[in-house]
Amino acid sequence: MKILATILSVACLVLAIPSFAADCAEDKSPGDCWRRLSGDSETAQTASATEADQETQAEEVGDLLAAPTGQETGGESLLSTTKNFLPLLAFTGLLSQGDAAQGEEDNFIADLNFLLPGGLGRNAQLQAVFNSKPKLASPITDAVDDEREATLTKRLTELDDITATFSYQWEGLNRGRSFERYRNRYEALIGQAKKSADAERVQALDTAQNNATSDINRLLVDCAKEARPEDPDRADEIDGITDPFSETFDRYRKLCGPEAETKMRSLVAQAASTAAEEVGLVRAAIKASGLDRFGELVDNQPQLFVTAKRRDRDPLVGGNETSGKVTFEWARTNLAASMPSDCHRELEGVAPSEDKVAACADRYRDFVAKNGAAIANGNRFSFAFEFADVSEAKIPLSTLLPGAGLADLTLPDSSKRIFSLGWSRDYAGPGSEPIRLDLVANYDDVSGDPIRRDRLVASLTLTRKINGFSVPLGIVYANHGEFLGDVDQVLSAHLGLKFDLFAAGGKPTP
Amino acid sequence: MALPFFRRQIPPNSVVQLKVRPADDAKDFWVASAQRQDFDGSNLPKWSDAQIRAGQTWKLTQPNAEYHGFVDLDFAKKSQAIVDLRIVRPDGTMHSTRYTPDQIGGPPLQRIFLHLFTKADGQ
Repeated sequence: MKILATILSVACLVLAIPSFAADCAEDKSPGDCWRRLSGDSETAQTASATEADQETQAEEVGDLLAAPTGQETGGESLLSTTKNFLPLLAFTGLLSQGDAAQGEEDNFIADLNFLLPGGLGRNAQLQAVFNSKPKLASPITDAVDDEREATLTKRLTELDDITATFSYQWEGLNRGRSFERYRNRYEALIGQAKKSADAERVQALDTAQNNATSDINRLLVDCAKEARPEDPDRADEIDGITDPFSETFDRYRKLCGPEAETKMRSLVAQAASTAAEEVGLVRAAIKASGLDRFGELVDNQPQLFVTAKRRDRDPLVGGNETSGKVTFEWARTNLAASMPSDCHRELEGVAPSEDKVAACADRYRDFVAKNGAAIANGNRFSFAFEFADVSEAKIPLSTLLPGAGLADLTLPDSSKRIFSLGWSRDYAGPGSEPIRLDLVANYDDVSGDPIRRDRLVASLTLTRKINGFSVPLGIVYANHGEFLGDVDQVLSAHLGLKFDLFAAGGKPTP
Repeated sequence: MALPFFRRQIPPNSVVQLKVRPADDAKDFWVASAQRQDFDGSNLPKWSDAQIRAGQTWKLTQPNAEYHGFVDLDFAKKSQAIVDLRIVRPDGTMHSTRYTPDQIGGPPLQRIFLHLFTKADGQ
């Protein structure tokens, strides 16, 4: 009679929750079952291949956008208009030591971040580099023998070649591409998006999951209670299970019997299934709100980077040099354009009003819906201006090396100005990966340089990503060679190959 | 979807400690938030991104009770966050194990469900 009752009770249990009991039947542990049912396992990923493919495609587009091409991969003649200036601010530590084997000098570097007046922010950096082993200018080493070169070199100290660099990244409510600048807006919009999920269904799923875990705990409490009179050690062992998902179903069968194991499998399946559905609903709401594109919009924000450099040198090392560069990038479909300016201000504040957040979230969602393709594939523009002025340096060799019979040397001054305009856009390529097109035109004004001449350089670069490799193919046209006496017109083609040595997880990838 | 943080036999007056930080400061493209239910089912104040980054604690006072909630990590771009989630007993020792794996990446949203059960007094 007792056996019949047990069979009936197990049968009733299985019939009551058949769908969940089947779902964990093949899993070794609750953790395995959770991972599989929630989509973390390979099996589940295969089942939802379409969605995974779409996500992978979006990631690849993002990777391609973020990947520098052109100049970094194909030499200086291939230029890209899509770069992230943030790494330019990541200067090295306070002291750098050169590799003597490589012939590098030791440099003493002092960095100082400081707050700019007038609300311009803490985005400026001043760096001073003292070259501890300055070298004689090459015209001097060409003019003297080794012994006199050593004599002149001994005169140099670490104060004879000093470089001061000032850099500034323009950031504001809608300027710059640092995510930190937009974190509050993202948090406010995400909170609103989650409210737009089917609240009743989400609540019901949450409650079902909580109840399932509560039943798992109750099952173990009851199991220990039943075991304690006859087998206190086994009861203690059951009480010692503090993380039920890290145990195996086998152990539950051994400790509490097959009926408990079956029930455990069913309850875990129920908890995992309801959790997966709940998270799926919330993720869908986030996607419907356009927030899966937020990061891309931040990458399209305008950014301006300025550097100015002053190099003070002893005439034996060379002429003093003043140089600088201003670079600006912008894409039309950016976060700034996604909402009115009052939304940006309100959402970036500490406690935006709920009504305002809701209204701004609607504007944001509508913008993303209308501009979905342009966010990833829209036009991007860049402008850069670069200059360098080197002053004349007079080296009194007749005074420094009396009796050597050498005449004084004069290193001539020089100057250059480079103007650069760039445009880039992604196009749908064969397969799922886009092709990026970069068009860059430079004009080099080097009228102050006696050995160079002005010239126009235009480059067209196609970058295709294939199985993790970025392959830039570029054509460069210049109306003159760089140096006087070179050929008049230059047309060259470049093919590059770029790959990440280490993926995010630290595993090497092609 | 992340594994849940399911812990039982927690001594009353133990404290849940939560802190999340970026795996890589240069790729801090996420925001965290958390919702919690008290033992009576009532909703406790939400924790914001700033609060969670600073570190939060939650005392589980009621014996033989259950507490639920979840921690959300919303990733705007491909990045990873390190979650430090643990329970500290009244005597200062750690109950069970910390949340693992502690490194979670996205997008999309990753939600860590919290299911915490205290043991009865004297048990």
